[in-house]
Amino acid sequence: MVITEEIIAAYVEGKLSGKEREEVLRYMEIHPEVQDVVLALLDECDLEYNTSENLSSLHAEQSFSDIAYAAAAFAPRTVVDHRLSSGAIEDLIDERQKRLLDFRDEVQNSN
Amino acid sequence: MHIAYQYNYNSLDDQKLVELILDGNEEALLYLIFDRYSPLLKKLCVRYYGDLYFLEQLQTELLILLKTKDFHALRGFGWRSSFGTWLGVVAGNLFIKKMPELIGISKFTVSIGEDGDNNEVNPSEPESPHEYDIHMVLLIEAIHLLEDKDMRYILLREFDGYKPKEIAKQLENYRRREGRLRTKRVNGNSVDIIPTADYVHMLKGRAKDEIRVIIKELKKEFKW
Repeated sequence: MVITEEIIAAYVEGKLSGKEREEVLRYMEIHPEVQDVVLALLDECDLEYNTSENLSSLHAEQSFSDIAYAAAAFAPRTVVDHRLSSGAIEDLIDERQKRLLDFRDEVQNSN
Repeated sequence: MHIAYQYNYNSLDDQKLVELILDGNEEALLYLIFDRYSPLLKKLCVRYYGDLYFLEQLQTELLILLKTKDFHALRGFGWRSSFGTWLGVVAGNLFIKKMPELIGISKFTVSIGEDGDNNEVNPSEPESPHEYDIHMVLLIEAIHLLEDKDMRYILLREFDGYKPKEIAKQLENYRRREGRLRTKRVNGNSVDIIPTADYVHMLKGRAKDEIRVIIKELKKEFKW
């Protein structure tokens, strides 16, 4: 079976047969990026970002972007940078992965 | 980004919107990406980029990807899942793929949909044996199979780095939204039962026990 994005999505929604599910699990075993997307989509509460509070912070950010882009037109490119540094983003991702691995080890060690 | 649409797409379901797109209505695709599924895309953006700085750029990249070759990916979508979950997988894959270019990080190797034509995988072999992680896959499957969705919720939130007190508040909002917030009678009045950090801790403990049982069963079920 070819594992497509649609098959992964069907897996997330629990719509695969036992055999298909097993194939997706085997596929995930060697594709950590798929594991991560699946984990992200298992959390059904996507709408938490849709609160007025978050939207207003998004709008504020867009205004900031507008200002930044306008400034960028007159500034050397090196001055323009993203808000979080790559290092900080990498740390966030590493920390998430560490929490997951710690939990995996906790469960595994007690089995 | 606020977009003034020519039509009111709000009332149309995803299938109808996809039909419109495939009939040449690109505005319906804009609506799906920049309005209906914006919360999902924000969540994925924060997950891989730490904040929403790149959101519009990533939404535009997603728009371009879906428009490519006369909406090839959309035409190939067979509705085995909901449109939203499929879009989440496509977007998650794309956002990860763009990480080296946008922020100089290549944390993951992207494989799904890499060929761009068939939306199929390139089943490359891992470079070293340590990349095979059956225990992680079993854990994800066990989380997936948890019957109590509050348990799944708190585990996923904890992996995302939230503290028990924050999770308790999020769980309260989650239950409220779904009309599941329990109540008790106090002096004849109905009072909401608000989840606490201790409750989250206790539920996490139960989740861990259930996951252990599920993993044991999975190990029997599958021959790895």
